[in-house]
Amino acid sequence: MSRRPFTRIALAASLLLCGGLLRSAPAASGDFVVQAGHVETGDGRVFAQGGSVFVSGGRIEDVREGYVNPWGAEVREFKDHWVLPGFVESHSQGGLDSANERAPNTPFVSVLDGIDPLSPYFEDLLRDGVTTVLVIPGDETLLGGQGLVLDPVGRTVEEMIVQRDGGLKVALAPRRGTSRMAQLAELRRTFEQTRLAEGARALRDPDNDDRDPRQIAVGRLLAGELRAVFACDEPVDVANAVKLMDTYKLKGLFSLGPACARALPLVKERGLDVILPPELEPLERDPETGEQRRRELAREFDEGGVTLVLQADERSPYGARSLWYQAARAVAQGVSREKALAAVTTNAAKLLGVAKRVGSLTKGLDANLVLWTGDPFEATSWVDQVFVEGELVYERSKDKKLARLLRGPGADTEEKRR
Amino acid sequence: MRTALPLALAAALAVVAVPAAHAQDAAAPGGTLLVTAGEVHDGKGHVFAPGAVFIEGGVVRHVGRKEDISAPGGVPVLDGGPHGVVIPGLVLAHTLHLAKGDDDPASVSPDVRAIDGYDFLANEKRALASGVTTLFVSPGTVRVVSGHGAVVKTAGASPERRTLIADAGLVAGIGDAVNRPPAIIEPPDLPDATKDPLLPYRAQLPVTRAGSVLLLRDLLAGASAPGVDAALRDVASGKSRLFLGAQSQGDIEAALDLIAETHTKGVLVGGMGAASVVDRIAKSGVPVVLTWPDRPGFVSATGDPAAEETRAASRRNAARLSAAGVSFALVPPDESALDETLFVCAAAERAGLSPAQALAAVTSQAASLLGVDDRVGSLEPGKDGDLVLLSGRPTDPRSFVRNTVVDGKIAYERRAETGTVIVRAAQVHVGDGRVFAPGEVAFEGGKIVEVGPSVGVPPGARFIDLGDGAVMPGLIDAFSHTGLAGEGGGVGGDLDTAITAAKAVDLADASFAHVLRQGVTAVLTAPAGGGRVAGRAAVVKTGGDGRPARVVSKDAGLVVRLSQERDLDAASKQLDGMLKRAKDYLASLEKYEKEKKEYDAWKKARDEEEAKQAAEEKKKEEAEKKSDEKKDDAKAPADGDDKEERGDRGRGRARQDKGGGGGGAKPAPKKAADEKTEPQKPATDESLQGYADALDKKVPVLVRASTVEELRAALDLLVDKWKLRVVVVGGEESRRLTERLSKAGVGVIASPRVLVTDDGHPVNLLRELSISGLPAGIGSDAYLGGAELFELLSYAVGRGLAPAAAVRMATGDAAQLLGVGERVGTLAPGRDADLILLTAPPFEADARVRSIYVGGVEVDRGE
Repeated sequence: MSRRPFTRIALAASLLLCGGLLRSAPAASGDFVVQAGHVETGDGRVFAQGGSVFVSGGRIEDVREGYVNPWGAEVREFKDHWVLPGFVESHSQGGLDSANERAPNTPFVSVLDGIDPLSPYFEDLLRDGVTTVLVIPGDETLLGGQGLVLDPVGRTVEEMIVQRDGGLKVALAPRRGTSRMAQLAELRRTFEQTRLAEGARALRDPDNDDRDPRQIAVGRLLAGELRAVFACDEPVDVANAVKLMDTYKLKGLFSLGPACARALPLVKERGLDVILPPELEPLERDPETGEQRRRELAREFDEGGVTLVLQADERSPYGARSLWYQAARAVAQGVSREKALAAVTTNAAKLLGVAKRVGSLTKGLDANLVLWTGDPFEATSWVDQVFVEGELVYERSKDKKLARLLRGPGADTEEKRR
Repeated sequence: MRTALPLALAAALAVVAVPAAHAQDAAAPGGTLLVTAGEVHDGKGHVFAPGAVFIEGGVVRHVGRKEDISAPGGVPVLDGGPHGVVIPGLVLAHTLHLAKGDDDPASVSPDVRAIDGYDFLANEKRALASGVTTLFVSPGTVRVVSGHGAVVKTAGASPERRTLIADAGLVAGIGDAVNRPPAIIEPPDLPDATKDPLLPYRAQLPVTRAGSVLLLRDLLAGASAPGVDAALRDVASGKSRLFLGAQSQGDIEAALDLIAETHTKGVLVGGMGAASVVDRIAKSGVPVVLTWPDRPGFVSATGDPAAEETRAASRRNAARLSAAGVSFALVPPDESALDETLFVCAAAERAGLSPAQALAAVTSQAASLLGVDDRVGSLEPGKDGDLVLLSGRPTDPRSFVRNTVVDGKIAYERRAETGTVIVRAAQVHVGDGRVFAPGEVAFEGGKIVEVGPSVGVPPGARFIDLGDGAVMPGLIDAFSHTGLAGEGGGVGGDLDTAITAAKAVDLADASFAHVLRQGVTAVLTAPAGGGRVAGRAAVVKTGGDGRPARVVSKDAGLVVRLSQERDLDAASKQLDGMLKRAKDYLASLEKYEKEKKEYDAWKKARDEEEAKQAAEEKKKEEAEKKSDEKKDDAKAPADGDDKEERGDRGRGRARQDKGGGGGGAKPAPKKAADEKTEPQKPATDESLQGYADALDKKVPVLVRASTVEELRAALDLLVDKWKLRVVVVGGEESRRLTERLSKAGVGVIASPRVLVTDDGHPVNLLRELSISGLPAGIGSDAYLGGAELFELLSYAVGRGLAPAAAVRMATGDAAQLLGVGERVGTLAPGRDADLILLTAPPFEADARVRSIYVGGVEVDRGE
């Protein structure tokens, strides 16, 4: 963390020096006020007639209605724009060179060693207004490895980290060529072996020289220090994951597959933390008549009283690759706008356990602001500027790749000819 | 507002009344239900007919004869009707009913549990729709030890209640099926290239029967060691079952040896080669899960005669085991045939198994072999309320599952499809003289699809069982004025032959509904006037939707009259004259059309020739112009547009000058030799045009004639002179001219009387016509008279007409006479489903109309 931490330390130092003056004139150099035509805080407050967000030391200091500046800070005017908290992508394999190891049982790997900070994926996140993401190994695995919660800005992975323990991927859905029973039997074998090895506590003791480094992650999982991120294809996977949670006293959250709509009663009954699949409108076939029916997962889960959390699919070439589109789909299905917004901001932040850092425009949280040219759920709106921890990290006017994309094919060659 | 208040009160009262029942329902694990049917099979060999099952709180309370069982008021009733049959929910003793995925590669993997792979949230409609309520789910069949199986129900309140046994026994196998395990690669978790630069594949046992037995023996011998999974220990100690897959005779013998040696509670699975070791199996007391060797609906034969021989013989294994007293269950060959369990039962029955044994093999015996007979497999007090309501006997291939009940709740109900309707009756009158007694007629999408003593039953078909009743085609009034009320309610007179009755008829006319209620589903409606030529008739259905569906024949014949004349000769001559005029007109029209065609062809050829010439001229001129333009271009290039326009105009002028009247009607003077003039069209006369179809013999001439003289005159004129198709209407004395009529192929529509006086004696005209073999129908010759057709026929039957002949004359024969036999009149495949359902055979005193269908839709329900 070279850039922002240093600025933050510098600010902290200057604040300390200023001492008692702070209360009456809190603005220090580098502080600013964003005055925008429409402000939504993500936790329910909406200032449709204009609002002001005061950013100090990389954090949100205050959000008020109207164009005000009692803090005497530098004003950045965006009267035609909408300001929203940066979105939170709750489950992704973006930025990894490959989603999974070939060997299925690799709880010891971590995306820490695999993420490319310069991956275009992180640029795309900014273009879509996403400022926090859980990157974790994919679902074609057994115990797939550990994830990290990141922001998409930084030259090294360390700079990007928001939360170090992103979770351990536990795939309940069988890998290609295996059966569900075999998958579960193998999971149990691994857990039992780790337990047998010597008792999970000793595994986590850094002074214990005999510990097997390969078993540390599973040991922490069994001790409840690391959460599981269960990958579920079918409803039965959810049920099996719950069985595992009960047997081994695990903590975890669930990334659901499109067929998991039928697991809704179980999700409700157990109050599970779930992330809906990127495919929000899967087709379901009646096994007797062969008739197909389109389900609307966002609406069904919302009506079922489940807290919505959405994810995008970075591999999709279409709308589902953008988180704002996923939220807009939820609105199209009949979910209230407020809930759809929460599904990609506060709810996602809570689910990942980073609600004290990101997810809304609340005092003390990271100043992750996204300036949209309009309603983010409209296809005609663009992300114009993105601030992460108070730093301007994206400007559409300087986005050369986007400009080239919008000019269309052949534009470059034509330009050169001139 | 005034009405809203009482409604609200009623709603409030209803809410007050409900809770008692509701609370009880919520507390119980299952539902309360009374099921009644023609037969109840309890799965242990008892049959109650008619029977009933009372389920309370998901558990069977009473099973027995219908009259012995009563349920408290307010209990929902599922009534299967007299043909419905209730059997226990089916129990499949071995399935691979799990979500996709391959088996664990290891030859021996006792820690795999099928219950982990069973999806309690999956949609089990396919199993329920085929009556399967309990399943043994196996973890696999291609390894020596695949893991532990589970016994689950396909529906129920919760996974706990649906799980009968989570670890129901170890699934193992001996023989060919398990003899080719894959070589496996076991990668270390961390790549350690220095130690293992290349990871070798490890070959696994077994490839021989001895290998598989050895692995099993080792596993069971080591099961008592500390730290071994409890489920495996239970198998080794005989507490839990060992399901041993063994197909060939050798495998079976090895399996029996192993079971005896290890003192395990064994169950043989497969048993294809059991025929020659039945006695050994019987002596060992080991039960068998028999896999049916054929996949229902497919030809499974291989190219190996010996193997086919064994397979064919194995079909009789069930009967053999049954005779030897071995306890056995039957299962379909694979997961794809899961829903064919009842078919497999029927197939085993055809191969010599008794019906009761066949049913037990998929219910009570299967349950006891799995160790779940305390909960399922039979309908006895205290057991789970799981049952299947079938449309017929369990091993009748035409039966299908109507409802599946699990824990006293309807878990499956076959959707009432608009599809096929089957009417069963003591008599089915086809309408062509044939009667099926008893018989069935099936219709679908408004058309008859099948008729006969017993028709095909697609699953989900709806039955209408008339018991002792009868079904017949809708009646046809072969000569009426129905729907032609005209203005002011009076029946109209003649119709101009320019139009047909189909145009004049008012389909919303009240007369249609009136005659329909009495079973008349189609009428020939004819102009009611008394003119020599009264007009053109049409055949119209009395019910149904829309003009296209209701008008069966737009032009059904030209109605003429030769009856009730003082001067028959003059009348005949008049008719002859009218026909001649029409014929002359039509001939002149034909001549004109022929000439016009020739002229058009000639004109076309000439026009083409002219166009060709003009084109040549144009080309020449353009060439000239081009050379001109070149010169022009050199002089004034800026003036291009304007000049082009001028050029065009110039060209047009030139063409006119040279070609001379290119597109005009007048040909060029020099071609005058083969000049043709356009023929003149004769003055149009739509009335005379209306005779065309009759003169072309496309439709009949319906001639009103009664006496012998009139009939003779009609035949002389219309048949002999004009050679037309003729149908006689009236025909009171036609029995005297039978021979001539029959030779001329002339039919008779008796109208409106059946009893005629001939030579001072009353004669039943319909009977006479019937035995003479003349095609005949019956017409009311009235606006509303069709309503009395059935009574008229009953009267004729009372005076000696055969009932089947009466039906035939009023339906199939009438339709044939009127040329609409392809649409209506008979219950033959492809015809409109217009039928009358009667409570007794037609014309019997207690025969009442039960309901009337037009186009497959019930239009009237008798009182």
